[in-house]
Amino acid sequence: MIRGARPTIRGIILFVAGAVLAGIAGAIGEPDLMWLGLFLCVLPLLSLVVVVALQPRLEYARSLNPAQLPVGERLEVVVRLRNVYPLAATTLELHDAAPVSLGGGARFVVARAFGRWDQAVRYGIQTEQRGRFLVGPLTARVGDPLGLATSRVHPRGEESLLRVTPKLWPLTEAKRGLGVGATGEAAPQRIGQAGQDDVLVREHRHGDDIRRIHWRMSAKQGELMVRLEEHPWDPSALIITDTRRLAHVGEGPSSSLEWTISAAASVAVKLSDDRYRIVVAGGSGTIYQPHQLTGVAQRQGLIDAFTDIGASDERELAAILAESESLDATGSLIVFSGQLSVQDAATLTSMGLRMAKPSAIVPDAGAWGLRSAEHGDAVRLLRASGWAVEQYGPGEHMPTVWARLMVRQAAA
Amino acid sequence: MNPTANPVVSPVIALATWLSLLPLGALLEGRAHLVEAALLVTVVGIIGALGALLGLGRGGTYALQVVGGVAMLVWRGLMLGPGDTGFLGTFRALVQEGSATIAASAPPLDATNGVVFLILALTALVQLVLELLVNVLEQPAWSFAPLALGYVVAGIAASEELTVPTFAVVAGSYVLLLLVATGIGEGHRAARASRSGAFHLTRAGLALLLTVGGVAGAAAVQPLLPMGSKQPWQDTQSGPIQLGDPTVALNENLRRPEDVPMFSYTTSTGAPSYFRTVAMPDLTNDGVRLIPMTLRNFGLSGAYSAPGVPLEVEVQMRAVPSEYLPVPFAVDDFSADGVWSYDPETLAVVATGADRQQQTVNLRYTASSTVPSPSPEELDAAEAGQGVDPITTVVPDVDPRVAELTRQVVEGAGTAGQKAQRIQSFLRGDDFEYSLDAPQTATLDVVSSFLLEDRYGYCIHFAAGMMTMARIEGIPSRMAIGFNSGTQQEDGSFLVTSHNMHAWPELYFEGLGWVAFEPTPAVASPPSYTDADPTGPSAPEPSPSPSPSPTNQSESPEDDPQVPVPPTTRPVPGAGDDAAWVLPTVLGLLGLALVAAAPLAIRTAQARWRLRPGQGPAELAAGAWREVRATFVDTDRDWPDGSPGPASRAVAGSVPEPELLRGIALAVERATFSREPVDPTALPDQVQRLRRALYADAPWWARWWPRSLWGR
Repeated sequence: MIRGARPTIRGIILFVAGAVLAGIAGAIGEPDLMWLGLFLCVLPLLSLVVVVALQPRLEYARSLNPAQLPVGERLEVVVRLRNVYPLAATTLELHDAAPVSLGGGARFVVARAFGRWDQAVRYGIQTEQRGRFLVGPLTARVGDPLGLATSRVHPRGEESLLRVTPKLWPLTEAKRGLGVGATGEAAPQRIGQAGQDDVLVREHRHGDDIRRIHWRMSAKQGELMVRLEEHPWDPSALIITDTRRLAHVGEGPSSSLEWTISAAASVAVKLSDDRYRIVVAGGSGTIYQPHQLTGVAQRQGLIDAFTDIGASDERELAAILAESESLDATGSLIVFSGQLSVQDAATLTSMGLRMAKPSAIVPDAGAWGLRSAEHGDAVRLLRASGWAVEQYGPGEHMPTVWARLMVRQAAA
Repeated sequence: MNPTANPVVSPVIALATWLSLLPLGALLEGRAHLVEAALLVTVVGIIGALGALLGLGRGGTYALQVVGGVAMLVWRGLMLGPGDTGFLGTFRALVQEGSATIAASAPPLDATNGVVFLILALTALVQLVLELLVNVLEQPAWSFAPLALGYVVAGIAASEELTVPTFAVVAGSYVLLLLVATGIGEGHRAARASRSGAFHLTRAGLALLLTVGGVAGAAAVQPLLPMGSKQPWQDTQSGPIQLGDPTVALNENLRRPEDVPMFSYTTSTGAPSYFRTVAMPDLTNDGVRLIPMTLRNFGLSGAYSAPGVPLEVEVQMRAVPSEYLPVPFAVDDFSADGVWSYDPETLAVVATGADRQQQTVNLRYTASSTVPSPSPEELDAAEAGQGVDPITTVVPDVDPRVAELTRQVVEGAGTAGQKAQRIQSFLRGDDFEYSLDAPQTATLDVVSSFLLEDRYGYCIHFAAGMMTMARIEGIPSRMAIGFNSGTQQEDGSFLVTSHNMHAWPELYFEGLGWVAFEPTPAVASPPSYTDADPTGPSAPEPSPSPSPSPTNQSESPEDDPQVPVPPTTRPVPGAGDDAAWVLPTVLGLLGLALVAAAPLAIRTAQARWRLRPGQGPAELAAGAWREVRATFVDTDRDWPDGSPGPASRAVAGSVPEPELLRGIALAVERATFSREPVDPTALPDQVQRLRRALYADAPWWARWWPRSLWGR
């Protein structure tokens, strides 16, 4: 119909009843009854005219405070509405749409008539799910005073983007020993007292560069000795986030996947604030690459990456190695995983050989109800390979787990 | 239940109800009914407003309003009614009096107490139905039906059309009601401007414009549309019906030498019967006459009740035009083609169709009657009856010697019944002679000379004579015109010819009703309940007079003074016929039951559809959640915001079975958000259990009026 106006069910009922009444009145020749029938017919038509002619012309501007927030928190939405048509006089029912996981949006009524007006409306959204969402658009339904006709109006304005980030735990525990100097070797030998070549050497291993052989020391020892490079401080970390659907239990915000992502994000942000370069891997490859960014810029990139992560369909952690070039030259390795198989543990062990102080946070089999016996074996394997492995239960306070991990790492 | 009931609605309903009674003023004299109705609607409206203000809930307020309305009705009924007949008797008397006034008179009616009480009852009904529609069921659009009731009744019953201002009042009251009952939208976080007062004023102004536009549009469009003829169901001539003088036909038929067959009949008992066309109660100086009759279309069987013997007859008319239908007195029911009405006083059946005179031509019809047939002892003991039209007891200015003669004849008779038999025996006695030579009229002078000097005449004289003498003795009497029994044929039926046309008197006795007598000798034997003829049995055969010579008696009736009978009034449709109401009532009740059950059926089907097996898990989850939402709306619970999990937590306190709801919400969330295949087969059962629990907690009518169907 014109401008989207259509009669309501009540209007249609009145029209039909009026037509029937007018027909009967005509058949029995009673003009006064026919007036009644015609009146009931005419009323919805006039209401349609009212709805079409007196529709408001609306514009709006929405602001989200804040536009990015961790999951579980509440934000405030303010919509500023303006009508530019002076003859608007209909009832106005507005609906600001939002995805179902954000609560479906808000409805409100504005009771204004005749004249241009501005109106600000405020409502809150409680976030339950991580991700990126579009809030809006704003739609309006106008009606006539008797409820016989209605129309949809689309105010002019934009949708707003809302980012719901993973929950970022405040990790106050200072990270000790990660990425300091060494590239994860075993404890270096100190040969001799304060000698002229005060250099650290270790035995030659297969694969070491020939140019690094310290010939003098090698003659003394009778074994090939390789110079330990004093690398510049390489503050970088590889964070592996296991996002495999198979490996996690639970649904929605309380699942182990969300906990894992939230923990990984917290650690990544903390390290980024400490000026580390973070590479995040998971699923089928790299989730985040620093690309020369550090500091605050890297932080935002990390948060964005963690916001957008979903569950992956991979079956094994080895799939991460498919893109393995980027994963080489990093300082330390932290793994946040779900349920592990022995194969996964082997993969992790091989990755961890070249890294310093590999650590892992895995779910507690008993607390999560994991039925697989492999998980326990995998944990034991990791620990035997020198990993610091810590376990978490459902809904556990992440800083506590992190503190335990640090203690374990220091002890190892 | 309804925490935000609007207290303005009930007073507006009261006002609208009162306004809807204004068109009835076209049918009534006086304004007493408006005053009474104003009191009633005010009381019920105030109860409604108080109920809304105090938050009593819809059902409680409505129950109080019903109680208040009925109490007002009872009180006013006791005030208006006759105070001497007891509690129930007062109301019965009021209702009867009102119905009788409405049925018998034409508009404008006198606003008697009975009529006022009936209108008061109508007002209470209209207001309570409006309250039900608007406040309890929240369907104000349908309120045009009760509001228009007064207007429709007035429009159909009054002869002149109602005016546009009257119509405008009714239309305005409907729009006012709709305006007040329509909300301005459901917004959970409603942002109302500080100028909501101005907004409501604007709404009211717009509604006023809509009313004016609607009324003007209706009045403008109506003349352009085709209209049928006015009230075609009455199907009568628009003017009064002129009935001819029956004695003219009587004289014609008796004097014509040819004996023309009129009709033949068979009876259920095999015995013969007199057939009557009409009875004339007016004994004037110029003869016996009809009086104006108010004809009716319905209610023949209940119009006259007196003891008698049931008789069914089947009649085949010849090609004889007649404006009356010959039936035995007192007729209860008849079945004949054509349009017929009857006079409740005399039980004469009159043709009222478009082609009145031709309706009896070759007509085949049946009739069943209750023929008065008291035993001789009952007649001997009977007294003159009371309570009939006084015109049947008017004693004309007859020669005083007739009174003296009458006194002599009835001397020694104790009761009226014995007196009547004396008169009949006197007239059938040797003193009188049947002769067609007598004057054709039965004026008072002719009757006097017939009774005193001449003592010869034919049926009209004998009948008029007995009428006069009976009235002198205080017995109500009237003259019946019709046919005597006719001759029996070989096959058992009877043939009635033109020479069988006859006149006889009917006298009214207490407890017996109108009883026929036969004072004319040589025509037929006297009725079985009277004394036998003093001189031997008379000729059973009806025969024309011994000297049927048309000497002075001319065959052309135009010489006789044709006094036109005063016109009868228009036929008025009365109360419903007896057996005919059963079938429409049953069908109507069935239809009502179907309509009432339809919303429940639709809702149940919708629930089944949403939970049907064979859908994918996401669709099933969505359907299940929609179903839960719809059930919440049906049972008038608030629907919380948010996705299923938090929503179920938010209402956990106010629903029965919060754990079940939580489980359903969890399952729905899992099916919706999780990408693993989820098994939702338990969902339909859970949702049905939840529905049962929610309905158990809700009022009984929530099932029958599911508001979710109406999108609220």
